[in-house]
Amino acid sequence: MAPLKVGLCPALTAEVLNSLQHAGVRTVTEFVCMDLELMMTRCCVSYKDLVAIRKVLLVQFSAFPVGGSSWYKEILSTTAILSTGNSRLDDMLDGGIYTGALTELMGAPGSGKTQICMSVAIHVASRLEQNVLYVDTTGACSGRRLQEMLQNSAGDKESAALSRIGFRRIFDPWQLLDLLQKTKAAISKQSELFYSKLKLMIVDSVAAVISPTLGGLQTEGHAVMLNVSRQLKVLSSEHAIAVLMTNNVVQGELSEPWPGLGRSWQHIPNTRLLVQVTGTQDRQMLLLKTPRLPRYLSATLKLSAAGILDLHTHTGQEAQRQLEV
Amino acid sequence: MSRHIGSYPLPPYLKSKLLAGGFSTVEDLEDVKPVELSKELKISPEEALEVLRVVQGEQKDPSSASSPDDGVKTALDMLQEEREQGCIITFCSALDELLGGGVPLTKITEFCGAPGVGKTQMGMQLAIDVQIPSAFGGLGGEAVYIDTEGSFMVQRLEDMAKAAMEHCRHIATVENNREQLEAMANFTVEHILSRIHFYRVHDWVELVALVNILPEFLQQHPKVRLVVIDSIAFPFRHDFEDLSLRTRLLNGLAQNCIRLADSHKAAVVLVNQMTTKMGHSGDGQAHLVPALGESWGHASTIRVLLFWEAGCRYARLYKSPSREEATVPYQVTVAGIRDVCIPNNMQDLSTATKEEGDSLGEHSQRKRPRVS
Repeated sequence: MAPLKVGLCPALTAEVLNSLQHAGVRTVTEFVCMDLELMMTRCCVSYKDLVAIRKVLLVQFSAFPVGGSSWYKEILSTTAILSTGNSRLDDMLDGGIYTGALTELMGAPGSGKTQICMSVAIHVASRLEQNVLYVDTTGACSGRRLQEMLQNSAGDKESAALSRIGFRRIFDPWQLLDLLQKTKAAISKQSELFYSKLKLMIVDSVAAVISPTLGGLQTEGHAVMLNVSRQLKVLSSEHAIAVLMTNNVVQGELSEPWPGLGRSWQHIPNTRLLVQVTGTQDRQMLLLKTPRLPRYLSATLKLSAAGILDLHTHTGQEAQRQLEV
Repeated sequence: MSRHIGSYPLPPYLKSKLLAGGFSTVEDLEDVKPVELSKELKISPEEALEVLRVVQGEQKDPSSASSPDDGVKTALDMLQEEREQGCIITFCSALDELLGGGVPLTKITEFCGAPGVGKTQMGMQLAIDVQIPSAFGGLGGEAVYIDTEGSFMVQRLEDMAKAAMEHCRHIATVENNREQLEAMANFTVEHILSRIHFYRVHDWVELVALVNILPEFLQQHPKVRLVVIDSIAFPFRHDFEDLSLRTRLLNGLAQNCIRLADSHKAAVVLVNQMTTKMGHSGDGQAHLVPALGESWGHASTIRVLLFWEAGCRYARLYKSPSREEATVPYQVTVAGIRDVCIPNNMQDLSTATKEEGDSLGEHSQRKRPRVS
């Protein structure tokens, strides 16, 4: 919570602040929570001043209400739906990957999570011409495979599309937090062209960096995990970025597939898809969590040289589909 | 919004002290001197200095901190790097083809297989092949070999090194290439053996410790391009009651390995055992699956299963981000890992390999003594 500072409100002069600090009141939270009469006796500041300061602080630091209709209008103007390049998968996701939300792919080793991530990255970079930040935590992303996908789908726009994909390898949660912070700062500054057109962030995989810190008697890992999730949510909703991440599966009580990282992580993604192997190239996608469509929709994708892209129809011709009323 | 203290890599007790003292974001610590902080929180000056160093470290230079050059490169750069990197060949062209040119640098490659199928042979072969001089299109690197099972045999390594050396000498004399002939002076059996750094590890504590100090060793030996752990499964398969600890340790180990691979441009090769899983697909039958459980499957970037079928050894690519699943045969001869039959496109390398394979043909059917 923010510390008390001169200039927060007119009544909070250096003198008042000094006496408050002397009495052990340092932060806004402490000030607001403390009994005013007690504070008056301790700091020798007039009751009237304290009430005035408190009023201003409460107004400054509280959330303010937004009307439903104006909120709706804002959503319409800021949200973008990024097509994944596969019409069946898009249908399952009600159009594609939404900005301002976290979408999670979970699956067993070798089920094709990374392939889907790379394919979506290529589609967004080449067809939709938006920037993608690819965070690789397992060293699995391969430049050659990206190039192969591109050659098999887009053809000539090769190098332009590849330079729209920013790529970063990180191996621990601290680096991830660092990266998220810097990304947010870079977007707000609006000086880098890459960050001003950034629409999709891919974290493959989120489990690999977090799971080594989880468990045991330490609660630190849990705090780190929730910190990461909060930063991801803030990044996606404040800057209208879609986040696509991958997770492991563990076996549930009835040996059904269950997302890794434990119960509290289950609440984090807005949309969750399970990837299962049904054939050498066939992958079944099952919708486990969604805010928009009925659950348990499923579709079968084919992994080919072009990733998961539709080979015959290109649904992503329009640069970016805006939500329609 | 300024960054919360909780998101910095600081010890938990310091974090709780900071929070209790009213320091919850970077802003709160902006103009604080170490001495003030240590008095304020009743921590030692060293700790206070450490806190400020971690928190204010990147604040000093905000211009470079937020630029995309800071660790973020484009996929195009990555492709360029991958093209320049090269691979470690296995001396079995079918297997190289399967892996897309050989065992790639900066990735974790896992070989899983039943006892006696040639996992350790594969590890030793790679430790030799990583040293092939650049005149022959090799990497001219060194290798770190971590043996947890005690299955590493230096006599066997000598056989394989001799074969590799003779193979290269053969190429050099046939092509009569000056550069290659000169390179041969440094590619003798002694040289090969001296460039393999061998560790014998007895339990998981030693293994975890070793992987943690390995970055230092690699800094002193910058030519190391390969780290083999043979096997990763052995220290973790017995005497482990706390399975959640095992999972956590293995996950941590995997992250350390990939970090090592990425920062030192080295290939990490992990050897894994197989285990039996009952009723895998509901038919009540037992199946052989790689050991260490399902979650370990995420650790390796590339996973290759080695298995026997009808008296022949096969390698199946089980997981790879860049190549399709496929199965190829290979064999283990006195000379090492080799192709089974003549490939159609006769290249110098594969022809020579074949000749050797032929001359040693009578041995090829014989397995090394099994340790089960």
